[in-house]
Amino acid sequence: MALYNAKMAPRRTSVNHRWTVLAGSSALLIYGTLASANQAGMITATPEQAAHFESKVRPVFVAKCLACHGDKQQIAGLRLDKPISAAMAKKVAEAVEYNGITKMPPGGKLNAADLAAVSSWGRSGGPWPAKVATKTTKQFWSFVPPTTPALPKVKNTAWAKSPLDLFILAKLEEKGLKPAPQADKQTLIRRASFDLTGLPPTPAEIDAFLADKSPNAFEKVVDRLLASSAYGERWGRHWLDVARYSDSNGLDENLVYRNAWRYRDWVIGAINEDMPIDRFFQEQIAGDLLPGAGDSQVVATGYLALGGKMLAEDDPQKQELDIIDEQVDTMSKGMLAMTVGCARCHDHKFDPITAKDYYSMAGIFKSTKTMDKFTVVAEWQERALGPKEPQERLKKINATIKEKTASRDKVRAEERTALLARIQPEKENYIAAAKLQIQSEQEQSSLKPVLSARDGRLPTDAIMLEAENFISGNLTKDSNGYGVGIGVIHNSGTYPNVAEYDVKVGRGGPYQLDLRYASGENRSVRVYVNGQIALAAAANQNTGGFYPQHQKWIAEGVILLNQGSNRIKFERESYFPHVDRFALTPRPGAQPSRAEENGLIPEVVAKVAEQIKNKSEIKLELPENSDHLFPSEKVGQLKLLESEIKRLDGSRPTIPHAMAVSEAPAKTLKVHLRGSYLTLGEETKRGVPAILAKVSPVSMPENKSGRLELATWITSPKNPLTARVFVNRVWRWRFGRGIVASVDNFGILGNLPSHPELLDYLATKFVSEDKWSLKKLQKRMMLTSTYQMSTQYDSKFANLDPENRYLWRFNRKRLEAEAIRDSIFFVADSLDRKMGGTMINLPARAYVTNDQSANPIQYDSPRRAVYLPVIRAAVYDVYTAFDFGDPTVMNGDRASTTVAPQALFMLNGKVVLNATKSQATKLLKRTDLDDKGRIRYLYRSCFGRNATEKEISRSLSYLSKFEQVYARAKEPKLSAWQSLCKTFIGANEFIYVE
Amino acid sequence: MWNRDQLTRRDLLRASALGFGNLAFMGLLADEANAQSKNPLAPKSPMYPARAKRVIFVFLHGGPSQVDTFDPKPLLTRDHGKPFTGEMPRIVSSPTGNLLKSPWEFKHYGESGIEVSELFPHVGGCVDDLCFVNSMYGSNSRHGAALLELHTGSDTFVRPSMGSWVTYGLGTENQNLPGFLTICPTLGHGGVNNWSSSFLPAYTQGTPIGNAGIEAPNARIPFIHNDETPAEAQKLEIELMRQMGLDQLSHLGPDPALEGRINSYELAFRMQLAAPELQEIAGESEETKKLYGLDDPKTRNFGHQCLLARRFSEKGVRFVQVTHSYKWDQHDALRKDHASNAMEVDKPIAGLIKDLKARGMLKDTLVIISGEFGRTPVAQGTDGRDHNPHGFTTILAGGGVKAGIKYGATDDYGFFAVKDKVHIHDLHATMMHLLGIDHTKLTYFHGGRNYRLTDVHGNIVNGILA
Repeated sequence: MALYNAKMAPRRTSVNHRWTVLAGSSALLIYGTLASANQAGMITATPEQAAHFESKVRPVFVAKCLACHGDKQQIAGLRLDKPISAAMAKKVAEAVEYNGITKMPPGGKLNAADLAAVSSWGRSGGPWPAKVATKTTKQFWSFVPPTTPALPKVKNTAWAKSPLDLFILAKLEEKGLKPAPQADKQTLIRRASFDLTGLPPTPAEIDAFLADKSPNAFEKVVDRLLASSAYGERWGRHWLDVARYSDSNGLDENLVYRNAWRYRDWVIGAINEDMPIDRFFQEQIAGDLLPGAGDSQVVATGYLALGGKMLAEDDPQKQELDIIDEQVDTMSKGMLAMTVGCARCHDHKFDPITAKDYYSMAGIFKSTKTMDKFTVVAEWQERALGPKEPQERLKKINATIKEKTASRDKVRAEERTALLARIQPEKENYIAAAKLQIQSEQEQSSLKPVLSARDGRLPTDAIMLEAENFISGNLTKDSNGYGVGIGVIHNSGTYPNVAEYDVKVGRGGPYQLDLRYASGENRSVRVYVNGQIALAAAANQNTGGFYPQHQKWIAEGVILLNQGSNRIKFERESYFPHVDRFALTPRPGAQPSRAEENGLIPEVVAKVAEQIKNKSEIKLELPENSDHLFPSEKVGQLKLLESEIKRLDGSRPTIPHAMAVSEAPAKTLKVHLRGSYLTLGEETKRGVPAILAKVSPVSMPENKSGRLELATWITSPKNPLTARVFVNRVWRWRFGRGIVASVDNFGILGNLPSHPELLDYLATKFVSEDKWSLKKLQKRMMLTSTYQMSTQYDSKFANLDPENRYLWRFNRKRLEAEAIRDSIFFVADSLDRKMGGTMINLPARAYVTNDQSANPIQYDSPRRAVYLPVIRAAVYDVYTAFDFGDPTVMNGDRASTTVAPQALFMLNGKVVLNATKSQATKLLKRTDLDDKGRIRYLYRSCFGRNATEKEISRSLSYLSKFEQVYARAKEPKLSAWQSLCKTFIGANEFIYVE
Repeated sequence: MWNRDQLTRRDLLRASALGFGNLAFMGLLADEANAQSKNPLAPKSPMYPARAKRVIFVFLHGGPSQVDTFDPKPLLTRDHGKPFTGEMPRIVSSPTGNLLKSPWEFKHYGESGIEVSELFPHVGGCVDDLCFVNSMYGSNSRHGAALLELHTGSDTFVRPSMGSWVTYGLGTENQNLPGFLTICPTLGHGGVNNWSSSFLPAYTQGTPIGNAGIEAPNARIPFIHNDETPAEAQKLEIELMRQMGLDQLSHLGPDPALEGRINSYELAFRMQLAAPELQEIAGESEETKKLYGLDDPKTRNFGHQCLLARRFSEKGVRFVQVTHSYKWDQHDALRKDHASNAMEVDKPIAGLIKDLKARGMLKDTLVIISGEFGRTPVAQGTDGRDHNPHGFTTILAGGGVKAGIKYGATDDYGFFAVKDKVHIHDLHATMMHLLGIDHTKLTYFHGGRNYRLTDVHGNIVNGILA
């Protein structure tokens, strides 16, 4: 530690430098005495003091002091990452106050707030937070392994159909509550259908159930629903919430996760096949390491790879640790309901999880490969699937391409250098030509486009061409989105972007070129006429955006056309402006300037002109693409190489890939104080939190990541958390609230279980009897009186237990976003039941949103919602409105709010308008039904029940009222029926399940 | 004892830490029930008397250069072309070269004599109403992370945005409009995450009006309108749904969620009328339109955004953001593009300040004008500057902020904030303070701990408080 006057301090001096200063000062002596006091008399912080220390003092130490007074060096014997004595703390206070001889930090006083914090902390004796008190928390309920409890005694023995009911009933009786009566069969089948498949029952299914008088009629319904593929789509989606499933990165650079869907389909498949949940978890953590692992197991590890990442983080070490953190956090919350992530910066404040525990677990993921590269823009790993042969072939092809590309680049670089040297003597000529060009541009800038509207009258000898009608080229033709109604061309994704046109004119001579395009930035395009560059920077304006409303006619310049056929080519190395059409109008007067006639290179002239305009230094620069300027044998050589590369590129076998992890060299991590890798603490070993290891030990291999061991440990029957956490999740998804309400947090700040014995009963039976079968667990919960209660209100019970914690009735539930959307299509009979696959039509790792462009993903498909892409940072607006939540963060407990945007969606949303139109059209085509029959059908299909007479007559009068409002509409009857359908879909009864 | 819901929730959580279990969840449910029976957006009183009632955040996306706008550096001009001799940041985005002087002249303005570059003559005319914080700094050198840090306080994870925190803490004054609006926001660099409620309740989510690819006059709130259903018909639809809902309630018993949903249709219907009406600016005087530069194609789009911001604020929207889209990222073509960017925003920003002042709104409206970071005083290429989160300028105005001052300073070349440094967390803490909220006390329990906008950081910048 240095001791010198602040004025002497050089700005941002290095640590070594400080040492030099120290050697010549008298500081050692003073700090020598200080250090001797650093042994005893430490004060333990109260919770308030600890909070103050963690939020105000420790950050200052980390930022300003630990480099010299931490684990690496303890200058003057002072160490500020461990408790210090009260006397020492007082001296620290004096030092930061700059009052005594010792002035710290040496580079200048702390800012006022930091100074006040450190000084008051030091003056109060340096209270240091105590280690987490493991003694009191060791016995915390969730860390004690569950045992099967004895069945409780109840009074109303007739009510209980299953052991589960006994636990519920015992609690109800204890609290003076009584269970609600059994729900009617119509309610039951609707409840079970939504519960297991996310879809309403059809009128035929309702009729069949009503007609089935056998005692196991409901069980048959449950079995049918569990066997349907819609079951996996529904319950797979529940797990996808916990797995924070998404099809894009979100965060900073929103790149598409082109292959994420394979993981989603794997989840749906696993649930439909009833894969045991222990296996389900193992495959997600370490599928690739399991004996006999195949593609399916590799895909499963997508679970670890799917997190949101800062792909443009300039600090690769931070980036890697953030990715690991996301994995630790998601997995420990999702499978263990432990907020291990809280211990990244310091020991967990509440739970017995230490920073050491955190870095032990993080070490496992540090030894796991998730990323291919960490530099901006970072790339996540995708693993090849399928047979090995094409993969090997691809490797070879890629190697050859690399080789050829290198030799092409070498030739090109040499030729560019040579060419630049050749033109250097002509610099003055270039400057002169550039000045001329500027002059002529100024003249040309007075050119006005011939047309202002999209269409209009051109002179008879003028020509108009649609941009989409190129005879050769690679640009994307788009008549939706960017090109809706007009048709545009835009980026193809392979460069250069090219479009060539054949233009025939009756008379040769100068023509004015007008382009109609939209572009939110300068995307200048080169225009070639008959192989010669004519305009170096056409379409170089920002028209305000990329959409049809930004389309503008702009006069680009004058070009020379030959009589007869001409070849016009637009070319650009990168993203293309959205060109709609172009016009060529004869222009007798003006003559275009043609630099090449003077033997100069037009693109170089253009660059010089740009430099002159910007008043920047003038130097000759070649255009990006200069191949055509090289000697002809070199042009030939390059062309040959290019075509080789192109051929090889085209011969690449298409190999399916999955986002997945793999093993990396085994490493350990040190504790990162305050979560910063710049301040490292003690070394850790790869492992699991110590408190859990005591109950269920784990041994980590020396030279492997330990992922397989982690997976085995998590799913060990000895693990006190995993089965409890999972059955509790299932309970939450079924009953609307977990037995432990905080489903993602079984720690001390989480909630205590409302029915602890029931939770343990379910958890232990799930492992020992159900063998981790989710379908068995579903039946265990559904074939009970508890599940089959009605939602009947009781004012007395509502007073005693307003939140229905003890389940005296069934909780009314609002459908989730996906179920709402699916049901709207379902009752309109337009739901597409095709399973699996991706709906994303973008190249791998393409930007799915960027600064200007809206999400290009189309959501109007009638596929089940689980198959719609989940785009982080641009989530489907219907999802956003209905509490889908942020898919960057795992969430086992979606909210259910009521906000105005939901109502706006029901009134105005395209999904609702289109579906109800189709629903009404189909209803009206039902010639077997009269209007009353149609209304009855609506009640049965939408609400799963029969209409009352009052309801029928109300609907009828509504229809007639509406036909008047819509009298002027094209089809008043259809509009009225559509409106009626809208009210059914908008009604509470449609989106709430009793 | 300012916010009953909040304290109840926290007390209950404390109780649960001591072992009272599900009480905490009851607290959450009580909130949700409130959210359903009462409007959760109902205005709430601040913790202590507020200096500002609302916020307008003018975001200049891409990283405007401080040394070319509001932080003149004579030594940079003197040492132009020489190497920077100080220590470079540990983490940089791109390689850079020697010092590059600003191509623009600075001029003294107003009674305060504050210097502003010739890029901002109109803003220069307002300096006596502005507070220039020249010592801003952040933690991240990339757009995405820096945007998230400025909007949410975190450059690492998805967290609630500041508008969501403000709406959560204070509700909003006009129940026919959302509490937090963002006009033509960017969809890149975090996109929705920059106005998302993250783990806060959904009603605090920012409502986007259009996006950066849409001209302000054409921007709309999602689902606000459909062309097929006449308003008259919609009224009947809502009435029928109400009848159906009441029928159902009559035999189900009381349920605040169902009742709340019936009411939400009426709120939606009112919003459908109110929002488009506010976006219709035809009624504004020609003088006002000119003030915002609506008569000039260069300033029309951003001027329209600023005018909308004033209109929404006037009608009680708590937090309004306008975005000058991703244009300020001049790694090259600094001279040309910074000039045209400044041209697009200078008059609209000045117009907004003048208009707010003339209407007596400036005194209780906090205006924040900022990029996500600044730019380096060293050159990238010959005519560009790299990202610089280590020192940049944010302008504040109105709502309890000292007017006509400069606060803090960067070093001699404008690279690092050195004097009275203000981190983005400090800006957030100060904004909350001006709104009457103690940033350390407005917390939300999530994922095992209490979160706040400033996480474990943030100091109020006392030196700029009026």
